[in-house]
Amino acid sequence: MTGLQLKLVQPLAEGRLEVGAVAELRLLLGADGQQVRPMWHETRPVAVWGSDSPEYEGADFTQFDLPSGGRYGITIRLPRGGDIEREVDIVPGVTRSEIIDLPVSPHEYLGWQQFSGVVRNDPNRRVRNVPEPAGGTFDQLVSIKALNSVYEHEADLFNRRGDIPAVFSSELPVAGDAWQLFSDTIDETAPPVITDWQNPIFDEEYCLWTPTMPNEEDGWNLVQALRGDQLPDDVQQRFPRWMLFDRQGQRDLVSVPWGWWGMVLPQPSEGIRLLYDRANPSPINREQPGRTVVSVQDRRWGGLLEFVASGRLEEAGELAPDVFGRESPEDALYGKSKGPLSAVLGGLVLVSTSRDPGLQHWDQWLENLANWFPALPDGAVLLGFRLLQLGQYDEGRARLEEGLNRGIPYFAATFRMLTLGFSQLEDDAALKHISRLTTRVDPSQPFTVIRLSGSN
Amino acid sequence: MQDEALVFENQSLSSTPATHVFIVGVGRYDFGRDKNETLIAGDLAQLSSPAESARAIANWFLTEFDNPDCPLGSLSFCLSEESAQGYTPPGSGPPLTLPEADIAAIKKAAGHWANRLQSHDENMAVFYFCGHGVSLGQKAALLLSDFGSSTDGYDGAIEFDKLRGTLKNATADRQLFLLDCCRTRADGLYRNEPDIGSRILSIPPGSRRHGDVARQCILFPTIEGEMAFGQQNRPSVFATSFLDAVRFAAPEDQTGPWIATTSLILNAVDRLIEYRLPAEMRSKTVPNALEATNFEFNQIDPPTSTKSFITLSDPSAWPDAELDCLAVNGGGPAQSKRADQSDEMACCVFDLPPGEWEFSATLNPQPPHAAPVKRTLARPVTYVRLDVLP
Repeated sequence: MTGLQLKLVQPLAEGRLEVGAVAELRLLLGADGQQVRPMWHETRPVAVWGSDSPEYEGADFTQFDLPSGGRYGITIRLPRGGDIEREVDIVPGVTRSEIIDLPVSPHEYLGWQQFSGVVRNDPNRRVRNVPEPAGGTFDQLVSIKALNSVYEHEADLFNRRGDIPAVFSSELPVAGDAWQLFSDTIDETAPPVITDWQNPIFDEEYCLWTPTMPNEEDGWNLVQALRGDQLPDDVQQRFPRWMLFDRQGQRDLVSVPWGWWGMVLPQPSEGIRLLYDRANPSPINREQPGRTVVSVQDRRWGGLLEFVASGRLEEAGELAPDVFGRESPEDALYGKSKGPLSAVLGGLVLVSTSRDPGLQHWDQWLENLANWFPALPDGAVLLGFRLLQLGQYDEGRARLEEGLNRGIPYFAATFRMLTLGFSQLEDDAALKHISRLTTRVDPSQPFTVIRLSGSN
Repeated sequence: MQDEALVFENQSLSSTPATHVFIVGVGRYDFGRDKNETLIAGDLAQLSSPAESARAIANWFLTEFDNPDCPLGSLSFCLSEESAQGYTPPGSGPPLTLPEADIAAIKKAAGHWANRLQSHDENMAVFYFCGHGVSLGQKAALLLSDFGSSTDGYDGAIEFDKLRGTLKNATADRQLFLLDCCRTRADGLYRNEPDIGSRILSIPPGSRRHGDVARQCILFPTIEGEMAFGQQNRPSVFATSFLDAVRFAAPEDQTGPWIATTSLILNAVDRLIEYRLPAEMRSKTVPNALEATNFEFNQIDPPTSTKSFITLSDPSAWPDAELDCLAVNGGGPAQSKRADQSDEMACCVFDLPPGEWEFSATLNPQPPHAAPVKRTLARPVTYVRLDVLP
């Protein structure tokens, strides 16, 4: 058999992403050295292994069965950043193994953040300046000046990077009142409570917190809270929905998906990671350094989360069947695997990529998601958006309003569904109600991170 | 009422699927810098790229766009530029006068465009905007020529989600939005006013005559600053990349004809901008495509050459670099180009015949060095990034 076995490795990372990146293979030249038209190609999700995983060396490759020998082009697409390109020669009747090392992070503790593209590849402290060529045209000189001004801005941000932020647990008004808080331009929430989290790993550019994850009983309580039950005080204290990262008055309010794993214990290399980028700005305020990033290291869903967050929805659609084949959103809904938050993510992908008219097999569990978890705004919004797709405008409006009344969504993409849904309904009053908050939600992350005003 | 923005219409397609294009170019901001500066708009620079970009896009649709199942049905065009020159469709007579791209004219033109979209279920809608754009969090607005007036304040802009949401109710099945925006510190406007922009048309829910979900694809690159956006009196980086994408970089021949889908166009535009502009001039933190639904867009004749885009991993080494292309096994004459001979800010483009080629660069001064790369050219476009090593 003629084939290629592909393994992607993320240096300085533990664990794996069973569905992490998208690989495309193309037959550039046949075994006879000639082009073959049309050009054969195949696109498939591939796993990404952390080099620090004990099982990495013996791990399975992703197998591609090829139509013939010849020269093949490999393109690897990650959640963010440029593609990785390789060319390999395949002998007919032989299966070749290829290991591709992904870019290594200069920060040893940020391997998976390097993979997802939320940290820089090269240290920001490197001084850069593009010299102006002696014979350059006017346009070239203007371009170089523009680039140098960007470098100056970066250097300025780096020089103004602040200390490690203080971390608090925070509360918002319950349910729909939280939106009103932002509509009135009042940013004061309930007095935050400083956490006793262990010190983060940090260097001059980043801080990383790796909090203790909920155990099975905690997970059960967190899922029950989404069903509308009261969360026990001790669980609330250890796993607050909202956390505030405060660096000298610049505050990020972060929705932490503690219930992501539901009643299933995450594996040792899995968990929620809270990263503070001390030098780079948030998309919400590009003039000030500092930004909080929430990520979920989940071996099955982690890649899909990052592709959705980065807007690479076509690739998210490529990954989704593989992810759902291992852990379906429906199973998450019924508690057979993880929690309802992963069901929401699955629903977001299905609804965003749905093209077939009429009801799908997953429409029923989408309705269950909305009905069974009344403390989960995203479920109702998702259903509302879907009902609009199906032409059920009154029911869709009702569900969107219900989602609004449940409070602030867990996922950043849900804000977009609210905006688009009310835009489609031409409901300008509802749009005005949510507009202030939607200008402050970081659009580049999977979970809700709100930049509060009052930043210096 | 006549549509003053209409520059082309094929009335024989009024009851068959057709592509209806609406182009808006805004280079002159009446309340921006060096004009009647107001507190809201005074920071907006006047732009020369939008007029050139919008004309280039219009020309392409009128002369090259090829979609046999959904041919060009109409093209409407609004334009504000420093000195109004109108628009001369290729191969026709005196220039046509175009409406200004202010909120009143845009609303009128959008209404006519929407009416044409409703003529058939399988119509395709294309909306192209070039000018200043503001975006913060999950909101975005496209600024028109009268943005920031003392009477209407923030209203002289297109609120993008309102446009997109309303068009989900349109009959036209496939919708492509090309937002060619210059992004500046004007995003800060949203801190003072979260509701920037107006609804420019209304299509009530329930107007779609069939049950399919409208497929929308939005390209919204985030290019920082006026210089990265576009050089003086030339089409913008995004417009150039989009035209390259639809002309040769995107189409594939998997089904026989060379067809570009919106997904292929998105990927090609992404790559082309990535190679044309240093990474530092592209915001890494904001998604490029707000939504990317795949459908066929246009087709081309089989390409006969390969364009190779070559760049360096370190832009600071670029200005004095010399790039070389050498055919392995004598597939064609060697080619060489200096970076300062390139029309592009951060790459050189070579026309090379298919085959195996080695790409290298000589940097000045050395060290650093650029690592050569071998690549097989078998597709209409190849991208090569040479690593700069100490």
